[in-house]
Amino acid sequence: MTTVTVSSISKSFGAVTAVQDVSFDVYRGEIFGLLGPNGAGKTTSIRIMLDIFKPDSGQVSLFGGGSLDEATKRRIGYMPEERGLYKDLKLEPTLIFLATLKGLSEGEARRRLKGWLERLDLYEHRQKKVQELSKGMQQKAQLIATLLHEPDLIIVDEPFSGLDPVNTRLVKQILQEQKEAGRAVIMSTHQMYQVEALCTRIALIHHGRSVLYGQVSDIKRQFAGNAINLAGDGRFNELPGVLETRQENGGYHLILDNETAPQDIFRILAAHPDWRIDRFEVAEPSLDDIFVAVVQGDAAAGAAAAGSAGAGGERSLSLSKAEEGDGDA
Amino acid sequence: MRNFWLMARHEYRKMTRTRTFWLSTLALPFVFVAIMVVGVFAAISGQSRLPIGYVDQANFIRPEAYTLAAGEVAMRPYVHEGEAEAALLRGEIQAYYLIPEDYRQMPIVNLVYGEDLPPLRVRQVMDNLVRASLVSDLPNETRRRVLTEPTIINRTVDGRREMRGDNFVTLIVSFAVGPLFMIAIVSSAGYLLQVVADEKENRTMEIMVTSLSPGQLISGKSVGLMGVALTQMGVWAATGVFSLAVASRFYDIMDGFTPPWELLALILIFFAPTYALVAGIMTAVGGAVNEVKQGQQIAGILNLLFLFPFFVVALIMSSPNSPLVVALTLFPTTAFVTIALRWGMTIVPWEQVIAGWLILAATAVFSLWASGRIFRAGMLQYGQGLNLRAALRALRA
Repeated sequence: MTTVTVSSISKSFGAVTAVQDVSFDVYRGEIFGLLGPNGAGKTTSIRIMLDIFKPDSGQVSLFGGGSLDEATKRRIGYMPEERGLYKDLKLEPTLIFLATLKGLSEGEARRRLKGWLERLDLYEHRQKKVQELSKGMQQKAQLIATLLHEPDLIIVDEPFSGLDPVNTRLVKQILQEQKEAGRAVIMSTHQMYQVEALCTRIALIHHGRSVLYGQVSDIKRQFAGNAINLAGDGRFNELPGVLETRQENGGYHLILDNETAPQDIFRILAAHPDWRIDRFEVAEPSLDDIFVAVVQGDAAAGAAAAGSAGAGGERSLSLSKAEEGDGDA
Repeated sequence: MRNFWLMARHEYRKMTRTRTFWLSTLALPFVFVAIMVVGVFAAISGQSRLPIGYVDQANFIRPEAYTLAAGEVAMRPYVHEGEAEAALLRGEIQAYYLIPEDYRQMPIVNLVYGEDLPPLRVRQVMDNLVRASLVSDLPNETRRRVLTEPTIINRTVDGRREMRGDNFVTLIVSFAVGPLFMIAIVSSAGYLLQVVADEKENRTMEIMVTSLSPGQLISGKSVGLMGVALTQMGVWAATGVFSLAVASRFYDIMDGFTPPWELLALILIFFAPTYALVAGIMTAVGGAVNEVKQGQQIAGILNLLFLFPFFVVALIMSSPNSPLVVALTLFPTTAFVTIALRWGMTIVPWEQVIAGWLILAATAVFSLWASGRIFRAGMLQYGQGLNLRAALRALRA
């Protein structure tokens, strides 16, 4: 079931085009990654979704409706990248006030808040002013403000910013729980390994355009180059059809020429009983690699092609073909 | 609508729970009360309770003709001046009057005192006794008329203004109440600017607009802070009333006091559009600037537009109907204070009052509309202010 439908939105500020023809859907029960380098247009897209900005063209539909009325706003929880709590007020009344704006009664907000504060280790700090809290604590407080009213659509911008590993794990767990509860989560972040761990689908925005869109697994497959990862002992640099051998993470990364398939290498390795093979796998690029490749302009031509290709799935296909041609995944 | 009231209540509570608010609110009454207390204390402590003596050589004083009021010092007769002087030297009386034999022909009385001249209030007792004695032989009704001062009612030729006696408290109230309202408006609108610019600076705005519309947000804040202004005025008014009540126990200042109802009604009518005008301007500034400090600097300059009449107060007092003063009455930012200041000095023609209010109201409506546009355009422009061109573009959009 579709929670968010963004259709060809464009927005300019004077001569600067912030977003151009961006489209994507977000469904219930998924964590959707909205990715892109700084200034790509992610935040503008989010603000258009939230009706903070009106798009110059295109449409946004939330929960199947056209306008973002007060009732619809109550179904949204938004955590901006920059923490936006009242700094000179105490934590507990601030969070209760924000929850009442989302339709909760003060009593209900207070009841729910206790559990959240305890879970996120903030209960002892509830009477402190927000500005007295550490950066990580403020981040967790902001997350509570986002989730306290149990929204159906959760938009989090850099949710792991300022968190230590323990709290990062806790926030990941909370986001997973929201997904499992059937809520739609849009996560904007630069931390690609978090995206790989949490998101099922992504959209990558670059220079205001959507240049990648689809299932994470599909995108990684499409960006997979002709390469393998090996661990063991042998003269792997003498293998036929290998263009380049790199030592990585205690093993080897072998880039193959176009005529050599991974299976061919596997057969050759099997024919050398004196070589020890501890690990053999077809190399798959990380999202980080894909992000860098796309953003650094290697896929500029593909992106341009993708921009005019129509549906999101077709865009990622067009882009991956261009990448394959470059042989640089 | 619920969120609008939540916002208003939140803003009101937030502001009225700060130390700064109470310091600024109580500072004025504190100074007022302190001055009053010092005055009363000085009046009480400086007043000797010793009797006043008199030597009636003209032989006309009738002690029974005058009944001492509560708090008045006793009058003690002496036959010879030597006795009175001895009593004064012994500290039994604080002074004595010597009424010479030819007093009826030449009404000159000598007052002989020790170190301090008795205060006017004490000397007044002797005056009253002398007057009452002089007319003690007259019929009761005639005596009452002679001793009671006539009540004079000051009235303008068109009947718009009527004032009993020449009570200076009425004048002071007329003169002070409008400017005090204006100060409350400007300071609460200053809070509004601070709140808007602050929330923009620390990104709270981005959270708020996902729950409320910009209109609800700004109007909620404005109404909350208007409540703050009214609270401030309420505290000041209560202090004023209390002070007058206390002061009236020591001085006859309330005799003939007439509350300036017409002016108070007028102030209430002018309050809403003036507040809306200031709030609109401050919201636009707060939404357009990048830092609170920058906004406060601009607001400081803009406040002069509202407080300008104070700089020409001498002109308003001396020539309340001069062309410049009339122009200030019609100019939206100065109308409120100018009319309030003129009120105690002259009769402000109704057509000027109505025209001033209409221009003010129209400007206030425009100010609110424009501030909404500028606020929306500027509220999320972090790190950069909204320049004049962008502001004008927002108005045309």
